[in-house]
Amino acid sequence: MNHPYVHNTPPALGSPVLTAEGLVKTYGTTCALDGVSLQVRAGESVAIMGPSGSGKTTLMHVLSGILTPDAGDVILRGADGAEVVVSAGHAEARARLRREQIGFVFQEGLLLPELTAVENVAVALMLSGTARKEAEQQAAAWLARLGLAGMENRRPGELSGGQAQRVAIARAQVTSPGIVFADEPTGALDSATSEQVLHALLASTVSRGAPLVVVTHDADVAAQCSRLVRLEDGRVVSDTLQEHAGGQVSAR
Amino acid sequence: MIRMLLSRVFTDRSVWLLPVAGFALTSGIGLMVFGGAMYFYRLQDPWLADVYFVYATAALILLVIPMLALMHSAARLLARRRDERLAALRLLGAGSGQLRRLVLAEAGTLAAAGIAGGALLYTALMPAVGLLPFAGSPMGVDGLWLGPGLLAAACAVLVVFAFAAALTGLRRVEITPLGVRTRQVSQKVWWGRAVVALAGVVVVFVLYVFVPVPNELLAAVVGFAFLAVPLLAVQLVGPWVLKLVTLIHHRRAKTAERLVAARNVLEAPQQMWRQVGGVAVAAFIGVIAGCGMALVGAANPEYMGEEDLMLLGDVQRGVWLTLAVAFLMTACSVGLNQTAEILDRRQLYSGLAAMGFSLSHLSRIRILSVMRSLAAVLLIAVGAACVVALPIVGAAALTAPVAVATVALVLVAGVVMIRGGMSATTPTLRSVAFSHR
Repeated sequence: MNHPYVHNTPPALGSPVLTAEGLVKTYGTTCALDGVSLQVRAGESVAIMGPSGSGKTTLMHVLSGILTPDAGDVILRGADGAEVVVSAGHAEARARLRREQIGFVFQEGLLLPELTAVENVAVALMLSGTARKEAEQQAAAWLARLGLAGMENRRPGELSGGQAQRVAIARAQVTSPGIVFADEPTGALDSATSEQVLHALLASTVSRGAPLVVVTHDADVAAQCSRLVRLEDGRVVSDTLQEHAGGQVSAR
Repeated sequence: MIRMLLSRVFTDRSVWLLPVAGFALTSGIGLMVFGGAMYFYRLQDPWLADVYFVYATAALILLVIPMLALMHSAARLLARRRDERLAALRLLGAGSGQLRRLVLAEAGTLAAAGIAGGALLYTALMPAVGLLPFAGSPMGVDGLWLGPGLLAAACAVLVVFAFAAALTGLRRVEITPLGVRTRQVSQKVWWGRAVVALAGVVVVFVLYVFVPVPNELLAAVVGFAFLAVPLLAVQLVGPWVLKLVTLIHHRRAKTAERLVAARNVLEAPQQMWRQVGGVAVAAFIGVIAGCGMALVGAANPEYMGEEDLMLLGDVQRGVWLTLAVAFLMTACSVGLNQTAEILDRRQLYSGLAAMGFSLSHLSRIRILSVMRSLAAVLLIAVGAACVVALPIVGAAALTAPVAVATVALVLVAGVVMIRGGMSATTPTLRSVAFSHR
């Protein structure tokens, strides 16, 4: 059985994984992104914060290829060093890129309610052509790693909010994506569960050597990340590294 | 409060257009079928009136199940899109009684608008449908026109049904201040259904074969029961067999789409049966009647009088028409149900699209769930028909293979129609999940 950890070669720590240059995105007369540039490196966790309407969700959508920018480029570098322009290409090609190289965790979990936990995770692999048996074995291994051993055959409706979110994390990690995006991943959870889920998300992503980008309103969530990017009116107003152990914050 | 909210129902087209169109389609087809039946009930010639009364009633009975399924689908669509407002009202402290009254008032308003549209549709289609010849002449607009009294009564029945369906729909959702969600409990399908169905068929078969019938009327009743009980048995056992067949599909599923499609059906076999099971009855009768008529037609026409030949042609036409209407209703039912499901799951589909599910992935999942269930339904119905009427089907296959091929072709055309109903929902899926990509 393949262990999830040995599925993919992790990129060298600190090497750039995602590079965005001069991103502009407008909706009608509203400018959601106004020349945002950002580089995300292997092994770091980046929190994107900002008031409502500051453009943080749009930024996540553009960085991950869900939306295309009006101007600017987003380049994703795979583990093999090959570069892919995320911000260009046909919708189908971008969908495939998201399926195979990017992991997502949303606030609502968005698990298929009729599937069991293990099937929800395995489907992500099966969509990329992995055989079902192999996919279910890898999915079960990820669930076990996230503390859900014995719950493989439960359906989302039979899981608590925190457990369901951990299934969503397993689904995001099972394809060993080069980068993981999370949109308010703990927004629907109480504070204790929130901490456990965030820890699981950080540990599972960063320990693989992949970067994690979290869009959040929650300062506690942002404090757990190694870097904090603040947005206002579609522009990056600060970008700081955070030293957790000593609480030291250094300018970037 | 209710009056204030109702006054807003028609301000947003996305709220009312689809439900009203769905209800218009449903009631338009329903009124046309009723009008067609009334044409036969009003025939003047006493011999023709007697014979056609039986056939028209049989056709109406056959169409009741797909009709109910279609009404249910339209009502389900009607129940969508008010969800957020219901949750908001709950948050403001509205009680269950108030919410129920609001749902009923809204369902009634939208259904009434849809049914008015349906009446117009029925009126507009009458000249075309009236060209179909039955009992020696085209039915004509006069033949199909229900008249103001009957039309109003039929519309009133449709409104009552919309109320009932809206209330049933409300039972399946939980309205909390945070939103409306469908109760996530898998539908259980009791295995005892199979036993009850089998027992019913055996009892009727024994009665029919071994118990002497003293008079003609009783013979007719037993004959009707001989056909009706297997039909009811198919309805009873259908969801259970569908579940068993889908369990096999699930076990064998090799791709993500097949896995999700099978789980989708297993989640609610009864609901899927309601969507596509309507064709079971029509296919069952279509096979038997189609083969039977083929046998009669293959006999030497010299032995038949003019009226016999006319009746034979009419019954054949009637069988095809009933089958076609059943398939049309099922296609519409599938279309409406799928639209409701897409709207129900808009957030999930949008999220899955963000994760990289393509439109073809999501479409294939939906198509596989419906079409594989439909294949199972048709196999059950055609299989049951072949067992019940083995001598008729067997003899027809030998003496009139062309007619048997026609029966098969009609079934295939029906399947294509239902597939078309699925395709009609793709634009809704695209707009819900992929519009902003």
